[in-house]
Amino acid sequence: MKNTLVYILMIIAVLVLAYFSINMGNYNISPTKIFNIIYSAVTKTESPKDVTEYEKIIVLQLRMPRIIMVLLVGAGLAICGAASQGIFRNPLVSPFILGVSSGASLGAALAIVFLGHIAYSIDICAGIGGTIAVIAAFLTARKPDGSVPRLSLVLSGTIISSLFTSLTGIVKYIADTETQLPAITFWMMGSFGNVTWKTLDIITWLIPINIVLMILFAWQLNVLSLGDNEASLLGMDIKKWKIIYIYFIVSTTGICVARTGTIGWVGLVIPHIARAIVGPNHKSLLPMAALIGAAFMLISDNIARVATTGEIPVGIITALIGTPFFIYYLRKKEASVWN
Amino acid sequence: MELKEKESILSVKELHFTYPRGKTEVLRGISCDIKKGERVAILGSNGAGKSTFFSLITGLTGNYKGSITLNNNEIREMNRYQIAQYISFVPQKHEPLFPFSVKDFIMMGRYSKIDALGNPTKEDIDAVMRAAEETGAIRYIDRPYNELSGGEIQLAIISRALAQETEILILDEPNNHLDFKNQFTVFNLICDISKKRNVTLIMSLHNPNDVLLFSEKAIVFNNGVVAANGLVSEILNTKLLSEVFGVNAVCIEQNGYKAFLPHSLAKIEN
Repeated sequence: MKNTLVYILMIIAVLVLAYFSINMGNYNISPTKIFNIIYSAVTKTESPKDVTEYEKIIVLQLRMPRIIMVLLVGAGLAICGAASQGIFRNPLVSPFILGVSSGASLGAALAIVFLGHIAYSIDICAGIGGTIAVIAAFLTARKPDGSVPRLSLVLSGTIISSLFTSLTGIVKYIADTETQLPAITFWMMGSFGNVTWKTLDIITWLIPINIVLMILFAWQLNVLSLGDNEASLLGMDIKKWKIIYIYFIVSTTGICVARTGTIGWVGLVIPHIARAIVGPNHKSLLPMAALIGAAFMLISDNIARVATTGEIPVGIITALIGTPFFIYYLRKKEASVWN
Repeated sequence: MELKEKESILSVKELHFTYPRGKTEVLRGISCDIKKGERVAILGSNGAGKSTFFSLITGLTGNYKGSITLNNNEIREMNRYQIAQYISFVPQKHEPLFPFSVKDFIMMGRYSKIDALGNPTKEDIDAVMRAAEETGAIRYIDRPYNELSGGEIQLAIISRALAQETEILILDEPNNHLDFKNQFTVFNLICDISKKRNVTLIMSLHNPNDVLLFSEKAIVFNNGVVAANGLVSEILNTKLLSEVFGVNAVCIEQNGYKAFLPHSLAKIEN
C-alpha cells in the first residue's frame, strides 16, 4: 500500500522532529546527552558523569512535557478540524472558525474569576463554553428548511466568536488585576510556555483517547459527509453520530484551549494538506491530519521558542503560516468552495 | 396462479400528509399496493406530491395520517437501519463535497451491513464489485468522484444503491441531467438488473413515453390524489394526459411501440 509507506515516513519524521526539538532552545543540549538522560530516567540507572543536574531538569522537567503537550495539541486540533469539515460538510470550517475556541476561552475565563481553584473547573467550563458556541453558530446559520449554507456557517461562527470574545472582555474587566487577569491573558495568547508534568494530567490524556476513537470510527464521517438525507437512507442514525463527533470535537478542543490557550489555523489548514496527500476518505485522512498537525505544531513551537531570546506566543506563528496558505487555497478552489 | 405468488411489499392506505407549517394538504388519501418484483412508475405534474410521497415511503418524513407498511411493518415504527434493509434510494442529484474514489463511494452503500468501524468483509467487497460490474462503473472504480461525467456519476450512485442489496430500489427521476443515449442506457440497465435480481423498482418519471417503455405499472398523481393506478397498457392514454398534465397529445403506434406526442394545451375546466 502506497499510503502505509507515507504513514511510516510521517511517524518517523514526527519522532525525529520531536527528538531534535528537545535539543533546541536557548540552552543547547547535544542529542547524545538527551539520549543518555532519557535512557537513564527510563531504566532508573545513574546518568553519565558529563550530564549536569541542570541539563537533566531542562530535558526531563521542561522540554519533555512541553513537547508531549505540543504533539497532543497539534494532533488534536488538526483531527478536530478534519472531523468538523466532514460533519458540517464544509471545507471552510474548523473548531476555531465555529467559535469553539472563543467559547472555551470564555468558559475558562469565567472559571478563573468565579470558581477559583475548584479542581478541573477550567476544563469543564471550557468544554461547556465550546459546546454552547458551536451550537449557537450552527443554529444561527441554519435555514428554516434545515440546510446550512457553507458561507453562512463561517459567518455565523465569526459572529458568535466575536460575541464570546467581547463577553470574555467583560470578564477580564472585572477580573483581579494581580492574579486573575494575567491568567486569562495567557489563555488568549496560546502558549506552551507553562507546561509541566502537572499539566499532563488525567484530563489531558483524554486528547489521545479521543484521537484514537475518532480514527476508529472515521468511516462514519465518510457517510455523514454525504449529507443528512443520503446518510439516513443508507441506514445511518445521523443524530447519534453527529452528537458523538461533536462531543469528540468539543471535548478535545476544549481541553486543548484550557491547557494551552487558543491556537488558531491548525484545524483549518492541516486537513486540507492531509487531504491532498492521502485523499478524502476519513479513514486515512484523520490519522494523516493528526500526524501533520503534530509536526506542524512542533515546528511552530520551536520557532516560538528559538526565534527570539524571549518567547513568542505560538498562536502568532500558526497564524503567520496558516493564513497565507488558506488564501492560496481559496484562490485555487474558489468556485467549488464558496457554493 | 402468478398473482398469488406475488406478495405485497409496500402497502399504502389512506395516506394524508400536510407539512408542519403548511396550510394545504399535500397528499389527500393515497392508497396503493406495490408487489415484489414489480416495476412501478410514479407519474404526475410538478407539485403533484411525488417527492413528498417518496420522502414518506422512505421514512424521511414522519407525522403522516394513514398507514405505510413495508413488508407488513408500519414504517413510522421502524428505525433508519431497519428501513435501509428494505429500501435503497437513488437521489435526483448528488453533490459530492469530497472527491471520494468510486469504490469508496459504492462501499457506503454497505452502511447497513458493515460494522461500525467500516471494515469491509469479503461479502461487502464482493457486493461492491458485483454492483459495479453490473452497471459498468467497474471501468472507473478507482477514479475520484469529481472527475466523472454526469452519466458516470449516475451509474456510480445506482451501483451504491445496488450494493445495499435491498428488495426495493427507489429512483427519483433517474434520467435527469442525462443525454438522450445515457437516459436510454440507464433505464435499460435498471430494468435488466431489476429482472435479474427480482428487485422492486419504484421510479418517479416526467415523461409518459419513458413510462411506456420501461415500467409495467404506473401510479399517476394529480393534486395529491391518485388519478390512475394499474397496468401501464391499460391506464395510460391521451385522456389521462390531458386531465393530469393539461396537454392534448396524439398516440402514435409503430412496430409494436407506442409514444405520445403532445400538440396543444388542453382547456382547463373547473
